[in-house]
Amino acid sequence: MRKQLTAFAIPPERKTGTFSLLASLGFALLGQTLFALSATNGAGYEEISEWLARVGDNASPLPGILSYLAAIFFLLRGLKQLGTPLLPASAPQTASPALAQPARMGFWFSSLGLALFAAYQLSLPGAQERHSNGYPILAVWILSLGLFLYHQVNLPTPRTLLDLWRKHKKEILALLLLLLLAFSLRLLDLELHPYPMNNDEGEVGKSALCFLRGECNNFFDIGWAHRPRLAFLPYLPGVAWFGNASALSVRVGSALLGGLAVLFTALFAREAFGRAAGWVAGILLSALPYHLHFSRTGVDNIVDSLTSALLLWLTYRAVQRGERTFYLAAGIIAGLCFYTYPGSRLSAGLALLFLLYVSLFRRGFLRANTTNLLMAGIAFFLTLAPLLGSYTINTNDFNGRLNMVGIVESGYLQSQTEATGRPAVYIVARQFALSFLPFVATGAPANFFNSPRPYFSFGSAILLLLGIGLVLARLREERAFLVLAWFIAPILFGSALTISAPSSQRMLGATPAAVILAAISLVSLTKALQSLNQAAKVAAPALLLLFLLLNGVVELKYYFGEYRSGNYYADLSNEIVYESRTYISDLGKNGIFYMVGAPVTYVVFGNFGYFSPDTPKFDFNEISPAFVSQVPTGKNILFVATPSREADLRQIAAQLPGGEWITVPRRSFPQEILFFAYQIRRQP
Amino acid sequence: MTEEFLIQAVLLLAVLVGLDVGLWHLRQRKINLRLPPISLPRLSLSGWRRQPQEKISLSAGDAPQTEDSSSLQNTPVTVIPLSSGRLARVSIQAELPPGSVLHITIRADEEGQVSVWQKSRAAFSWQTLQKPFQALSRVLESFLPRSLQAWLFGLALGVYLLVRLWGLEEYPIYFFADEAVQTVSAAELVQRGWHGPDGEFLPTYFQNGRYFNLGTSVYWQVLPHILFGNSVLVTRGVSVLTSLLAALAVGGILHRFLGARYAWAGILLLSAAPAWFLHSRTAFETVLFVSFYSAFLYFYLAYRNGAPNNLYAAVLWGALAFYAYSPGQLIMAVSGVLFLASDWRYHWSQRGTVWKAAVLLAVAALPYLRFRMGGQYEPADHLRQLGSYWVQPLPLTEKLKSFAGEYLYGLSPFYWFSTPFTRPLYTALLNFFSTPWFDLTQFRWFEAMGGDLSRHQMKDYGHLPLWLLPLLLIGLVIHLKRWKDSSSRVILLAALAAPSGASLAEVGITRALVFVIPASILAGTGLNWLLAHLQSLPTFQNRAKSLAALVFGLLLGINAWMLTDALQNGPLWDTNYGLFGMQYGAKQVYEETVLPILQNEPDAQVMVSASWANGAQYLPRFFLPSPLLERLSLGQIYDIFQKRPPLGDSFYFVVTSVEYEKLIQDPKIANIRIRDQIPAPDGTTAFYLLNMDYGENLQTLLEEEYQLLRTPVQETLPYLGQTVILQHSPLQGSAESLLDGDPYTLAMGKAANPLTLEFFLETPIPLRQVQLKTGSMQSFTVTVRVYPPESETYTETTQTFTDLLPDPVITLPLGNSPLLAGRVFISVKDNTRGDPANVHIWEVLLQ
Repeated sequence: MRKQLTAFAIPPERKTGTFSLLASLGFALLGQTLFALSATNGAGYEEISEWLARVGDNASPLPGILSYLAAIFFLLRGLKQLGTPLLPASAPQTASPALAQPARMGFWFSSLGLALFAAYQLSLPGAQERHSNGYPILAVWILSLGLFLYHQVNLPTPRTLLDLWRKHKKEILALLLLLLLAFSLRLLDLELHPYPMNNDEGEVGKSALCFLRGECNNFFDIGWAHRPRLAFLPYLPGVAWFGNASALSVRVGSALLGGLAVLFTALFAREAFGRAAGWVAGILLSALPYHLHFSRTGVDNIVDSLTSALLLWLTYRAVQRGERTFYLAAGIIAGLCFYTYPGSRLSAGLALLFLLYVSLFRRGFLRANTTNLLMAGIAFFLTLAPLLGSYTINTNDFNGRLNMVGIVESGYLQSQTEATGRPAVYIVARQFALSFLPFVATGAPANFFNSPRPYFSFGSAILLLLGIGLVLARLREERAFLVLAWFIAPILFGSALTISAPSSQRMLGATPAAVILAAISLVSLTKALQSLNQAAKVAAPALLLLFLLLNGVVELKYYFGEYRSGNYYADLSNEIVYESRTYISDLGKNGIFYMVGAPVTYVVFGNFGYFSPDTPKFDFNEISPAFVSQVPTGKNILFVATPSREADLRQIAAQLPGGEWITVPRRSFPQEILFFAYQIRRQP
Repeated sequence: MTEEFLIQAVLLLAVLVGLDVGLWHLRQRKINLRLPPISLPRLSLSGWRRQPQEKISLSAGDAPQTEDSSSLQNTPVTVIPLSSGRLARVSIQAELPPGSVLHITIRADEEGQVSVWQKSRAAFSWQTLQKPFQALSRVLESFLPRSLQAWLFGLALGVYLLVRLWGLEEYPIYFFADEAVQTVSAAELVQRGWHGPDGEFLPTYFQNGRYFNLGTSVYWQVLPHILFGNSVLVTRGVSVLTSLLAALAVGGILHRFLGARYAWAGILLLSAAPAWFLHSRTAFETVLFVSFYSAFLYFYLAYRNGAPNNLYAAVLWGALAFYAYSPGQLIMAVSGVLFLASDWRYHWSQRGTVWKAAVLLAVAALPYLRFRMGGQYEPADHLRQLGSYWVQPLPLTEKLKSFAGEYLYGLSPFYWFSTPFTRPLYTALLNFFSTPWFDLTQFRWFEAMGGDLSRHQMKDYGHLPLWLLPLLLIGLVIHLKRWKDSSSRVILLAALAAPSGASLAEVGITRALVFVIPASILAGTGLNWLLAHLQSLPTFQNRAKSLAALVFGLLLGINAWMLTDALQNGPLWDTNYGLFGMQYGAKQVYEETVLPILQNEPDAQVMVSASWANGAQYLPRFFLPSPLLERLSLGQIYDIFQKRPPLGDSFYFVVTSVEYEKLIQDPKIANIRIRDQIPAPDGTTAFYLLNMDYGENLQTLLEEEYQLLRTPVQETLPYLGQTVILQHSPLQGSAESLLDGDPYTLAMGKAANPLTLEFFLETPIPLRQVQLKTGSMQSFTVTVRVYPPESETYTETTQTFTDLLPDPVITLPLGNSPLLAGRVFISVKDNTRGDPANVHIWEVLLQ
């Protein structure tokens, strides 16, 4: 019995460390509680200059911050006293013999020449109209990359793949399981949650539809919201498979991107901080409401989390192993980052920053990897070349989005400095606070999420902040530097330096880093706990699993429960457009749809175009007998009116008798009317 | 469109794969040099095993099947451990007999596995693709260069040609009459049985407008014209291919006479010089001159460097250059004198060859002597037409000062390297260094290149790129230090000679273009020096090839960028597409619009405006077959009012948009019907294709208009030391130019025939005779009436002149004794034309 009890006893030399850890957790709990109690989603919480003055009103994050500083201090002290490394060790490297560089003829001129040729073709004035060359240019581009890679990499043979499977069977299965979990959570009831489908999703759907209907052929053209049309490629399978009948078809693309982001986040964390951190990060991200939500909306913001995780995993792996294949893959993915949501360009910037950091601080790295870096650069260039060609005639589109939303470019910073009399630095700092606090303290109003709760749950927010403390303490380590930069960059560039902070839709690139930070602290704490005694060695992993389970339940309960039932995502206009789709699509090409919707709903909204691309649609807002008399006879006609325009629709119905009056209630609030419709059938 | 794209892509791919095969072949042969003759070495790795120590062992045998292997104990093996401790680079150099197989075994320590990257230059696993390529490469082998530098030299020439031939018709966007005239003159020479317009057999020079300045350039186009006919592509293509001489000469000089290892860099630098980039894509005769001059330099240097017989080739190329371009005559002369003086000892030592070359030179000079003795044209005439200060009534010291100023300006970096971006910097620097008593901005030397027309510039580029300046300066210093070396001296003297031709009038890029050749050589020298120093740095040691490839890639990128920029943005650099801008539209008007009309409608007549292009008369002769020219006329719509041919839907007019705006407001014209519009590159309408009818009351309106143009106007001018009132028929040009003492300033009557001038003198003068310089008229009558002061009676003198020389100076004596004149009336009537007519008067002198 005594022997059994000693298994639970903490050795004296570990007691101080244990106390420090407990103190750390205590202060962290206190800090998070103070955040929870003080945080307001109203204006003022982010006013840094008033943090001190507002302490007494319990409306300042300052006490929470101070408490967290203490928590981090004790955590560092505790880990040191217990002899636990601040950051978990990285996973052991395994060789990739199958991907070794082959000795083949190099198609240097061909690959570069073809890429330049594609770029040149796309840079010709009027290239956008020449859609007939779109697919040939795509083929030239792929051939260019293929020829380049032919010299550089060997594709793994079935035998080597089989060897790999045999060697890492368990881990691969576990990864597949994680992927399955991530996909499942992202595909569950996808059509109706989040509800309703927003009009940007319709724009994405329209862009995919454009290719499927053969109206667009040029993937390098600039499409909706200044995006290269290639950005909509992930949405093609969903729209092709499910058709343009519901939100599901567009959202499947995002779900796939989000699921893959989980996988690559886990792989990066595994590579840099060990297997345990990998699993923890993957599980945390798979259930993170913020990430889940954008993985379930059919807009491509979510791709930021995938590109950042994938590219930085490849870059980190390339740097650590010196393998050409990963350098090349990183170069290609960095190039592809420019083809999608503009936030993804930040991933390429981060990869470059990381390479610079390693070049500066790791002796001999540059010399040993000059060729690898050069090849990565060429791969990057080859990937990017056609788009560069396209941008030469669409120069305004390259930074088109940033020019609209950047606080400097749009004049917001200047106007704020003038309005508040504060220096620009303060405005940026306030913006940063506004953008950062939703991760741990405040809600994330509007901006396609509108969550009253922080992105991270109470428990995982603690881990995130402690994780930040840990990487700050080990910032000289390449992996620590990378993960911190990865976390901060999207917050700074995606939200703090853009208008309407916090811009939830533009900070998704930070989510993988955030969960990795949380995973680091959780794994470090677990390892420290394990070092206390025999019982803790067994109990700590169980506690970790328990935490993950509980945290998962909390997160999913929030997103599929409170967030949904609270209708935080509800939007009357989007609902009207979405629910009227079946009525409009019945009209087909020959009917006409009139929207009596001002000032709420107009036919230019993307979902109208997505669901009923062929139906003629008109806004019909000035109601007069003369106007109504001009409505064509002999066609099927549908009028849809918002509740506030009911009287106008009744006037139309009186002048054009014989139609059917339809009243549609709101799905989320059945007691409320969503819209009225008046349908005149003149053709079978 | 897709088919065109696919054809382009396939052709490009074929060329590029060819280059890749060549490169592969080159690398392969390098190994073959070690292991001749047939068998390729095969590298094989025997995997990784867990062993206590890292060990590398080598063995070699005659064939892979046998176990008869021997260990290569003395083979150098280098293992470079890298920082992580996990990676190492293993370098093995082995000399093996033919057919050998090299086995390499790498054993890792027991800590873990080792991953192996296998790099073998000799093995080529894609056998199916390799075989045809190998066969092809064997065929090509004899043509292939022997070293990387030679390859790059060839590739540089390829790049040079590619960036010129690609989109040749699209940029420059204009096809200038000065380009067309070369081919037109060549075609007409052939048609006339090798006689000139005056019946001269193989004339030395052909006329371009008022200038007799086309020589070699016309003969150069004869064969292409006979073989391929007239087209923009052929005319310009000939120029581009000829300009390859310049590229070859620059590369050749750097390689052969200046010992540059990276001689190909000079070719790419020349190719990327914006002034040359633009002009070498045109058929202006300056391109031919520069190209021939480059060849002249090359062969002169060959002569000077121990191969005396090359002097004959130098003379021949020099002669071709001399006859190619009129400002080039002085450049050739100056170069000749400078080279003669610079290398006189050598010439003396080779006097046998030099005398023979002198005879050749004398033969080459015969056409020029024949031309000069024909008296058709004086060099001074050309200068006068160019507005040169040299033929103006100025003191010699002023002329020399102007010459020095222009000459130095032709060497000024402010001229060659200035861009709109650097100009503010220059201005700020000049203002900073200027003082009230020493204003630098007054010096021509510091002027930016603003004087050149936009059609002779690549917008925002500068004539030479600014990044070339440091390289050029390095090269300059190197050659100055090597002044005693003849080759260096020749390059520097060529640079000094370059602006001499332009200095006689005003420095302009076409006249000073030859400067790009010494500039490229100097910059090429600078770049070679830089690369040589880079190679000596530890980072670049043993990486000469990588460095070469890097620099090649960089220069290739610059060339590609310029080409893309020019083709894509060039059409929009200057949106003035008219006479004073780009003169855009020759191909679009004649080839794409007028030609189909004349071919498809046998009754069609077309009148094309000539107001938008210099030398507009050459353009239809270039684009249209001779039989169709009969139904084409050049000029303004107003020109038909006199004869008034019947108009209708088959009488077409091509007018500029500016003219169109005037036409639609003109009551003399009615019922304008737009048949087509020719867009300018910026999308605006450049030309309209119209039908129209005469307006109602046309005759009345014309009479009113003519009356207005005949009604004299009055102005007060200083003349003969007093103020005179001059009442004259309306003029195009200033009346002052009649009295300014300069016989080369023109005033032209707007319509009045006779053109009248009436002088009201404040102080009466004794008048003995009246001297007039008029325009060329077959027959004209001059009447002078002299009124005494305060009197309405006059003395009249009239004389008719016929068949005088062009622009004659005539004197009309007023009697034996001078008449006291208070008022003088002069009338000049063109007897061959009615009213209206444009009577030309250059100068009036009351004596």
